[in-house]
Amino acid sequence: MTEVALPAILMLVLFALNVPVAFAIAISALSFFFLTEGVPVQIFFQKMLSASESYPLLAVPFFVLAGSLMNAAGITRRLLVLADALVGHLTGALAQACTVLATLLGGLTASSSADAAMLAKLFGPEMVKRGYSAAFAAAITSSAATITAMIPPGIGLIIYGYLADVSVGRLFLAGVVPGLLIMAALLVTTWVIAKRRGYAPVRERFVGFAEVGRAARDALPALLIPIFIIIGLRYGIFTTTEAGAIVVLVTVAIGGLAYRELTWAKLPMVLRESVLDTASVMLLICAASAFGFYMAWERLPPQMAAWIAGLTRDPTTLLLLTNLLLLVLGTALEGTAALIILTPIFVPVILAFGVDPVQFGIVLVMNLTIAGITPPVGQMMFISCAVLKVPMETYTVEILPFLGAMTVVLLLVTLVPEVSLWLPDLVMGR
Amino acid sequence: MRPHRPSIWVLLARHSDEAVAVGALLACVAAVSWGVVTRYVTAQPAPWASEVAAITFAWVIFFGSSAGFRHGAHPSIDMLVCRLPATPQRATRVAVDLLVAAFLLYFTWLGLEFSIAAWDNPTAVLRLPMTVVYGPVTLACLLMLLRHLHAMRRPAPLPERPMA
Repeated sequence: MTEVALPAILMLVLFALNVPVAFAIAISALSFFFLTEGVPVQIFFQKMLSASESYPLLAVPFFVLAGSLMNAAGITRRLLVLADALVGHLTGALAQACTVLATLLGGLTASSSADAAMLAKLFGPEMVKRGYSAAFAAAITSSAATITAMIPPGIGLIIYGYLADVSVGRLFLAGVVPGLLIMAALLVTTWVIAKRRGYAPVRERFVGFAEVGRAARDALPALLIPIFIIIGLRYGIFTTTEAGAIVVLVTVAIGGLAYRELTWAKLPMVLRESVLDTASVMLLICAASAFGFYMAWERLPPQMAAWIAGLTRDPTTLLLLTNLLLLVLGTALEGTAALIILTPIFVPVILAFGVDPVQFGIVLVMNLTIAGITPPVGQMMFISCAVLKVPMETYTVEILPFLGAMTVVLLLVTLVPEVSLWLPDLVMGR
Repeated sequence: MRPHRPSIWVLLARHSDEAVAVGALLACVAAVSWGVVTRYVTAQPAPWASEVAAITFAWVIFFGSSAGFRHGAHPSIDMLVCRLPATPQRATRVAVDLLVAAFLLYFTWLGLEFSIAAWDNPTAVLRLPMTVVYGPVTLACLLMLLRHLHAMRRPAPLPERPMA
């Protein structure tokens, strides 16, 4: 048994020793080929390249590129004006606008980490200037960024769809209601905290529907993009990957021709950012494909399924146990790495229990995204804290109410399948 | 004093991997978009489009990863190591760096074997030798190794984020 688990143990040791995550996974996968007789090491090389041959995963660089382009094209700024018009009169207006903007942006960008950085830079300094505590600002900007993972398009859902062989279109639709629920949970939590601390509104009263209408019209091309993606997928006009490529072209057209803010000078930075973000995620997936070969060869997922089946036979208990395990693992593991290692292990298990893989995908991605704002290890937490120069201790105190609110939403998605499945069933049929 | 301007060769060497990755990404977007257009215009999607997309995707990943070494874009978990005293921390860092270097060297070697062996092995549509995929990936791995070795010579970077 120990020999079988050796590569997995090696991986955890390498994680702890601060080996870059992608290399930790690749090196432990390679160790399997060295340790096992009769498995040619050439397979390792092929497996490392297999993810790059996947057409569905091509959507990752496209949506990453589209997200960077949106920022440079002035689309983000227009959405900010709209968010401010909608909630500027509420208590804790800046924090509320941050949540609303994250939701609007969620329909355009695919990466929570990129959004955490953007939101923290956009709202953080202004919040501090207006008397919000910096740690609160870090907490709300990182929490709001989690919405991006749920509202289509989202990288986590694309990766899960690829690994679990589930329709990405269904996953995208399934994320909408949970994403809106997170938004509502954050708005309420922020309102309670802001009321107690006296975080003031930006203006006295609501700007009026005419003003909101004007802001919405200005942001209309951007607002139409998620709807365009969903209609295209629903009627089979294009695949998710093709949608990504088209959104890139549409963004260039909107930013360059309609808004005239996307200039040649901005392009090198945008392109470089996209390439680096894509490469760091995709290298992880390449390494995980090689690691997946080891897991499949040693038949680890079915063994795991049999072991869990011995614990419980009830799907709801299974999902709750999975959530508990993920929350524990998620505190220490990096989100994308956890997603690509755990999906092949868990999907056979939940299928055996009759859980819908689409619902499970939402539970898994939401759980691991929440892990991204949970100390001590969390990508979005690191980003927001770094931008706002907040130590982890004070962040930890401020994030607790938001974590609580999001855990309630997570439980709702876990216990009530309709929360995630209602919309895809409605739009695409069962 | 005149500001020091790096020569064009230095700039090329410094940004070559980024440039290849960016070019590949743009080609990838163009190929996939062209695939959609041809499917609706001629009812017969250009068969080469998805193959070009797959080849360039591999380039984006591996050349982008090489550039990632210079920008510190590969995440790692330093929670435990940063709590060690200075000497064991340094020793761990050197050991980890050597391990990653050894891996990259071995992977480049594997890639070289594949590139040579795949010369007679054509791709499905364009009938190009598979070396158009393996060769550049091998080169990118070699660049990663060089970037990594270069980074090893520098002192430890200051932590970017506040420590607990």
